[in-house]
Amino acid sequence: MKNMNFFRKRPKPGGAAENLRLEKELAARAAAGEDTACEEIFMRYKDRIFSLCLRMAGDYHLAEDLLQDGFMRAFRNLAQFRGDSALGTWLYRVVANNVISRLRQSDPAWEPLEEVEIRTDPYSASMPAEAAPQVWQSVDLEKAMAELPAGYRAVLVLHDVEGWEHEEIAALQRCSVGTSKSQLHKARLKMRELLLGRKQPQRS
Amino acid sequence: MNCKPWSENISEWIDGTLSRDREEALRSHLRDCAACQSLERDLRQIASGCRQIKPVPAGAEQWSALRRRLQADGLITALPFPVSVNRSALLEGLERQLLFYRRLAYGALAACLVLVGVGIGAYWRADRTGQADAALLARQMEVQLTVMQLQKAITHVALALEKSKAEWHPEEWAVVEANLAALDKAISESHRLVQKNPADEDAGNFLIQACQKKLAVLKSVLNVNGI
Repeated sequence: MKNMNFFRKRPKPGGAAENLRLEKELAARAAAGEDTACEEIFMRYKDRIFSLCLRMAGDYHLAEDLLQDGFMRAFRNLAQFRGDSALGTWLYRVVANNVISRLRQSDPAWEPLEEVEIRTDPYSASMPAEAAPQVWQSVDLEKAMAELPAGYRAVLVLHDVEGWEHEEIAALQRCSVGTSKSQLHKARLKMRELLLGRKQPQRS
Repeated sequence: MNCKPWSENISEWIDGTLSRDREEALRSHLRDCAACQSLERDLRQIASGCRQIKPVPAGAEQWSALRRRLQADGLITALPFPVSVNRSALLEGLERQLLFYRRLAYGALAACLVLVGVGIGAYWRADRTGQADAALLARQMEVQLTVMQLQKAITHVALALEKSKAEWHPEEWAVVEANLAALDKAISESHRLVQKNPADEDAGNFLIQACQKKLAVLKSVLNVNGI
C-alpha cells in the first residue's frame, strides 16, 4: 500500500489547479527575491494593471506612478499570497486598493459615495424608441470615462471594464453591495449624459 | 409616466442581478415606455462597450524603473550585469563567455595531453637509458672478467717462464723482456683508458687483445724454451 501515491490523481497540465500551483511557485520565487520571477509577474500583468490605473486615475503620468507603487506594494506583500485565488486577481486587489488610497490622499474631497448631479434628465436625452441602437466607439467611451468624477469612474472601471463583482467592489470601497450597485448605475447615467452631449450618436 | 423607480432596475437587469419578479415587472414597463427602452439600450451599449475596451500597454521602461526600486528596497537580489542590458546583448555576452571558457578548457586539455606525452616520453627514454646502462654494465663486467682470467693465465705462465729464465741466453731474454714490456705498456695504457671511461668499448677490446697477446707471447716463449 506504500505506492498508493502512484494512483493519486495528478494535476492536469494547463488545468486550473495546476495553474494555481505554478502561480504560487512563481510568487514564492519572487517573494524570495528572484529577479526573473519578479520580472515574469510584472510582464504578465503590467498591461492590464496599467490600464486599471490609467482608467481609474484618468491621467497617464499618474497611472505610471500608480503602476509602480502598486507593484512595489504587491512585491512587498507577496509572501502573503496563499494561492487561494489567481495571482492576477490578488494583484488587481492590491493595486486597486493602492489606487483608491492615493486618489483619496491626492483629493481630500474624493468620496466614492459622492452624489454627482446628473444635469440631464436621463429620459429627456433619450432617443425615440424606434430609433436604431447607438454605437459608441471605444475612444468615445474612454473620453467620457476620463471625465467622470473619480468615485463613479472607479466603480465603472472595476465593474464594467475589469469585470469585478459588486461584492468585491463593496469590500474594496468599504461600502454595501447596494451602494456599489447604485454608484454603478449613476456612473452609467453620467456616461450616457456625457456621450450624448459630446456628439450626435451614430445610427446604424 | 414616472420612470425614476425603474431606472436603477435597468442597470441591475443588464448585469443579470435583478430578481425574477422585478425583472418581469420591468419588462412589462418597458413594453409601454419608449424612454426606458432607449435608456436600457444606451446603458446596455455602454456596459458592453466598456467590456470591449482593450488594455493600454505599459511603457517598456517601466520594468527597469521598478527593478531599480525593488533593488533599492532589497526586494530582489542584484545581478552582476547592468539592469539596462537587453536580453539579446546579455545572451551574446554569455555566448562569448561560454566560447572563452570553452577555448580555455580546450587549451587546458591540450596542455594536459602535452604533459602526458612528455611524461610518457621521459618514462620511455628513462627505460631505454636504463636498458643501455644495463648493457654497458654487462659489457664492462665481461671485459673485467675476461681480463682477470687472462691475467691469471699470464701470471701462471710468467711464473713458469721465470723458473726457466736461467736457461735463456741473456740477449734472447732481453728481446723477450722488451716484447713483454711493450705489451705491458699497451695493457697499462688500455687499462687506464678503461678506468677513465668504462663505456669505451674500443679500450676494453684493446685491453683484452693486449692481454691475449701477452699470454700468447709468454706461451710461445715457454714452448720454445721447453723445446
